[in-house]
Amino acid sequence: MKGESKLNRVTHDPTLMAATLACGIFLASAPAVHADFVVLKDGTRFDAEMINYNGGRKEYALTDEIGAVIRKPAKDVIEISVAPPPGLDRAEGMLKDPANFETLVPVLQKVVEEYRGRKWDIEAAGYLVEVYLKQDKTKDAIAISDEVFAHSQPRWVPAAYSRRYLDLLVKDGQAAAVRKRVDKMLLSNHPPTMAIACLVRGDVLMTEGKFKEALLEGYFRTALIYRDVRSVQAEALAKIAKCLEGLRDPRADKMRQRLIERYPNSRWANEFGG
Amino acid sequence: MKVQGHTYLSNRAGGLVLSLLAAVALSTPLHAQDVEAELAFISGLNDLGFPDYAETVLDQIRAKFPRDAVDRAELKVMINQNKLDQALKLIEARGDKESITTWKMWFELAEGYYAWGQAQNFEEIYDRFVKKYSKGAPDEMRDFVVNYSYRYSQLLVMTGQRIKSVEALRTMLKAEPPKHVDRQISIELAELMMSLAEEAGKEERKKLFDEAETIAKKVQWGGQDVWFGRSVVVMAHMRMIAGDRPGARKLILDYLPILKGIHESIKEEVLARGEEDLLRLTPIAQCRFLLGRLHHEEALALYAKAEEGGEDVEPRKLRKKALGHLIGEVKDGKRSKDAALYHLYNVFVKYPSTTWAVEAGRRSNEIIDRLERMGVAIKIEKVDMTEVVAIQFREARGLFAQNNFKDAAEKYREVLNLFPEYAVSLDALGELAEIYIELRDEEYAQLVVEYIADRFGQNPTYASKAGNILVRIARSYKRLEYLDRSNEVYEFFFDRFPDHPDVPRAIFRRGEEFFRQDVHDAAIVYYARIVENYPKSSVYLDALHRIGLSYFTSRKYDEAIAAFDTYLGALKGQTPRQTQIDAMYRVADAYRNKGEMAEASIRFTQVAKILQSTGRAVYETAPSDKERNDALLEGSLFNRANCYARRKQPPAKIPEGRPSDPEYWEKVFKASAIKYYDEYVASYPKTAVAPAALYQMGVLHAMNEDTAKAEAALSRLEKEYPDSEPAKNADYMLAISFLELGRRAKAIQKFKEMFSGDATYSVHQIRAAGEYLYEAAEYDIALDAFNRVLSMSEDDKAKERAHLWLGKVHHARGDAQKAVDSLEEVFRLSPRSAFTVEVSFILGAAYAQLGQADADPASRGKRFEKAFDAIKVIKKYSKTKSEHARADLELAGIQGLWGKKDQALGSYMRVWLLRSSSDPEERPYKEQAFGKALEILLELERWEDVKEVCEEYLKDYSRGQFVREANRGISQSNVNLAPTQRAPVAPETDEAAPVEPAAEPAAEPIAEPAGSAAAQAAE
Repeated sequence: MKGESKLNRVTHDPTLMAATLACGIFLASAPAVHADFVVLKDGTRFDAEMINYNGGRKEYALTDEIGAVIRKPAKDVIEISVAPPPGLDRAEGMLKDPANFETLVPVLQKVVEEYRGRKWDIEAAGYLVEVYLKQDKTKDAIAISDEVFAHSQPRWVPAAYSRRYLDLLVKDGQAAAVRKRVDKMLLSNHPPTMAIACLVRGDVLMTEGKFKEALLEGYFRTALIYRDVRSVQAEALAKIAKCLEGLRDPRADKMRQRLIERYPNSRWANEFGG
Repeated sequence: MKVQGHTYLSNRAGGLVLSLLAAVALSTPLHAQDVEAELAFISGLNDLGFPDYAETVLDQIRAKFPRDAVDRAELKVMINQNKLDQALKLIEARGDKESITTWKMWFELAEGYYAWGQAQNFEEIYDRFVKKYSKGAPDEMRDFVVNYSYRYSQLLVMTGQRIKSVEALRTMLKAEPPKHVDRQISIELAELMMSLAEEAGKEERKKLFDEAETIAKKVQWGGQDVWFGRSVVVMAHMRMIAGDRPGARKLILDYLPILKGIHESIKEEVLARGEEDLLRLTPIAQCRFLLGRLHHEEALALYAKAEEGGEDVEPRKLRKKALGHLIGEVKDGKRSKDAALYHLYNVFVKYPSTTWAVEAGRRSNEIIDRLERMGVAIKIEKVDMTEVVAIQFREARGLFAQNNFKDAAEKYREVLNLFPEYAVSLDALGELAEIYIELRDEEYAQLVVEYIADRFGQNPTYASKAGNILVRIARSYKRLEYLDRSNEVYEFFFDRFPDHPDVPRAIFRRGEEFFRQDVHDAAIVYYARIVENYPKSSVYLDALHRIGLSYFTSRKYDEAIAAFDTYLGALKGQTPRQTQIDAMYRVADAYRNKGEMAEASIRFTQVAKILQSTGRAVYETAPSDKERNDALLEGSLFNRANCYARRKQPPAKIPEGRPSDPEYWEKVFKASAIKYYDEYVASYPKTAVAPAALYQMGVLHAMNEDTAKAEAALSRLEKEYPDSEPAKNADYMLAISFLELGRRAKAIQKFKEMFSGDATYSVHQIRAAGEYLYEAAEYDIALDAFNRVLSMSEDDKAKERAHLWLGKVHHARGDAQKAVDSLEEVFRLSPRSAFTVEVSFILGAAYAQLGQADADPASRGKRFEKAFDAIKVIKKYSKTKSEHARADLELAGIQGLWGKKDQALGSYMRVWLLRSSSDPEERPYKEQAFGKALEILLELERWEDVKEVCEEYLKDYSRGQFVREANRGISQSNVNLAPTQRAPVAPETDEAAPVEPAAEPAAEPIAEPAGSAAAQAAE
């Protein structure tokens, strides 16, 4: 569990923690891990002694208990579980103090590289993005995310991270990249990911002043097709109302009303509500 | 509204679920998921109230998906739009009539029928389906048939049609479904028969019991499973209904070991699958419910017997025995668990999802209450019924959905009496109110509305929901066009739920409704309420802006300026927005409309300055904001020039070194105007008003007697805008320009030239000029225009129109006879004229004027009769409420002119009482009726009526045009209605009052007559 690791219990001094990290402790056991498994598209679970990933070929190498290596294309793997890099759970705490950034960045970059395609690269990249944004390096944040997403299933990426990445692209004016990513997310067959993709697609279209398209391709889909993804519903409703206002459609009021009724405590209701 | 989806699958335990799912998975076509998602999207858009967007998605589906998907999508849209006939045709046109897709479409249509209140058609489709497959279904259809037939039978049960449901299930059995399905359906059939038997007469009951018993036994021969357990329960239950309680108990107790075995296997299934819900299939729940009920009824019978008394009765013993039935007899120091409370309470707690849970809970509570009254201590608490109460309303809702309002109301009342204070009861109350609205039972509807407010309004848990329900009720009234009632419920809501989060928005929406219909005085009342009472709400700024806009649109420019200033003041420190610029522009325009050209030109310049700067971007968050600001910039630049052109007075403060001579300043302003017009044309050469600007430049040069520049401007106009109205119609434009710039004499001269016959103007041009002059109240010259039109018109249609306008102008000039002549000519030329209503309004008024002026009683009467005839024609041909209301008002006016004051008053009062102030079409006429009625009431000194109508008026028109008159009316009636001062009179009593020594001589014991000097002095 995060925050309860042995490392955390003994090292409370941020300077000491940074020094420990710099020594590469949480990279010590790098690629070979035990009790790992993947789940393939057809539902079969494959337990492996070791799972390696070849980014160039986009292929996993699964070593079984007798040492035989089985190769599986990345597109056939829908789930993966490997042991986490030791100490990664402490990175989150270290983000609070900018003094740690200098030490943290190369370490996290190393995790991204070593754990490419094996999920932990996503978490490390997420931390890196936070650092980069605090350092006002939007381009770097986008680049590291691109690197990680190229080797991950969209559904593995936490919704908040996907969202932040897409927002960065929008902010950076990379509409084409947003569309590409959104299209990929829409193929994930993972409703939370797809809901966010629709939402962001709506954002892009709304920025371009295409309110109707934003509604149809974005916000309405989020609100209706992905209605079970609760975390984005308030935002979708708020943005539906906003688009309708842009179109001078009186139904905007109805949507705002719905927002207030259904999500009275959300920040969106606070911004748009009564 | 959707029909609840009860499928056979959802009620079924065991392997069938998986096998059916597998079958569905295998038969799922490629991209079916996408299709289903798109169909769900269409449904969602429709349900959300966006059918227009659903249409767009439909277009996309047409381009992307195969025919079946397109058909289903089109069907959804049609159903949502209540185009059920079209939907029917769509299905009928399909080639594969018996495919699953086609039947699915039929069922969607059935749901559509149900939702749109055509339950009969709904049933017809299902009946046809059940009949079609009553003798067997092809293999590929079997599961589909089973599911949908079952769904139908469930629905029939839900809506209380148990006999029909029996028939549906019988038919299904004839279709020979698989064995496990046969067993379930058989047992459900037996249960249904049993429930029917309970209410049937002796003979019918026996027949039903016999058939149910046969079915139950047949099921028992088929093996010991869930259905076996239920067959035992059915048989026991039937014995109980027949009054054989010991027989019923014995049967259950005999089979109890087998039933427990079945229960255990279900529990294992629950553990294995993790589906807690499967427990509702256990036969134990019903058995224990039955045992509990048997004990309970035994106990009640014993208590009743003890109460009745009698020689051979020992009440104490009977009560003890009854108590044993309720909580168990004590044997060997231990209390038996075979007792009513024990069984019933357990059914409720352990099997809350079963259909017996509600009744078990209710009976448990009844027993607990009785025990408390008896002082018997027990260790269990009363049960929380919330979850299961909802089920009780199911039948009522089913009836409501079928538009069976009367039975639904009865059912709702029945359940609400049992469960008055649950969250679901609140929903049910809202539905009950809507039913009363549908039944036109205003009294009961109002009772429910007040009950909701009284009972739930102060309850922090329910207040918000209660408020929402009141809003829903108000909307229902509105939907049914009971606007006054809708208004009353809204007012009730605002009054009783002032802290409800929706109130500011709801008030704003009320304002918007009136605003959109251009009933601005009513709209302002609502906006002002927000401003006064909800300054922190999100609609506060919008309300301020709307107040300004409402005054502006009502041409109350002073008020509009004040309101917009308040709005702009409130925006200080807030995020800039486009409406800020809009408000500034309107303030400028208000000054322009007031004729304060100096102030207006300054304000327009300010707006232009902001919008010409780079800082304007902060006011634009959406592309539409930019468009709007572009338009305002253009308007500001044009109006700035226009204001300068119309400025005459020197500035209030003359700049140093400049003369104060008005003529000097007029020239200066005109020079500025020319400069600004020039700038405008340079910036907007392609707009529709650019030629007009250029033209105005020419006129201004001409007025400054700079002929060369005037000609230059006009020749530029002809060259650059040859097809523009000013270029083609130079004299007309010049005349209008003169008129607008205050050179009336020159304008008249120009118009006369235009209508003289020497010039070559078309009928259209001259008529347009005439209409302009009519609007500008230049009637004499307008008359010239229409006479010219008449002389130029060749066909009857053109003449008809010219006569109409001549009639209007004559009427406006006060020449009633000529107006009548012209208007009668309209009907002569075209007896069924398209202008019948318009002509009749003027004709009625003109005849009435002639009648009023006529001294001869006979012809006077005839003229008034003609006036009434005109009103009758209006009543016959007018189609709008506003025309009808106006006709009523005209009628009253005619009666007034005829001197029939009482009749006129009656007619005005009819408009006042019968027309609605909540209806934007009728509201202005109702107000006019008030004004006229008040005049007559005051004249007749009917003070009580004066007071009543004035008070009523102020309630509905607190910002209306007669507010001052109404207040004055109330004061006057108060004065006149005040009790006359009387001298004190000794109370009447049998005993003589004690005589007080009089300090002064006693007053004369005679009351002063009302209105006497003494009484007035006392007042």
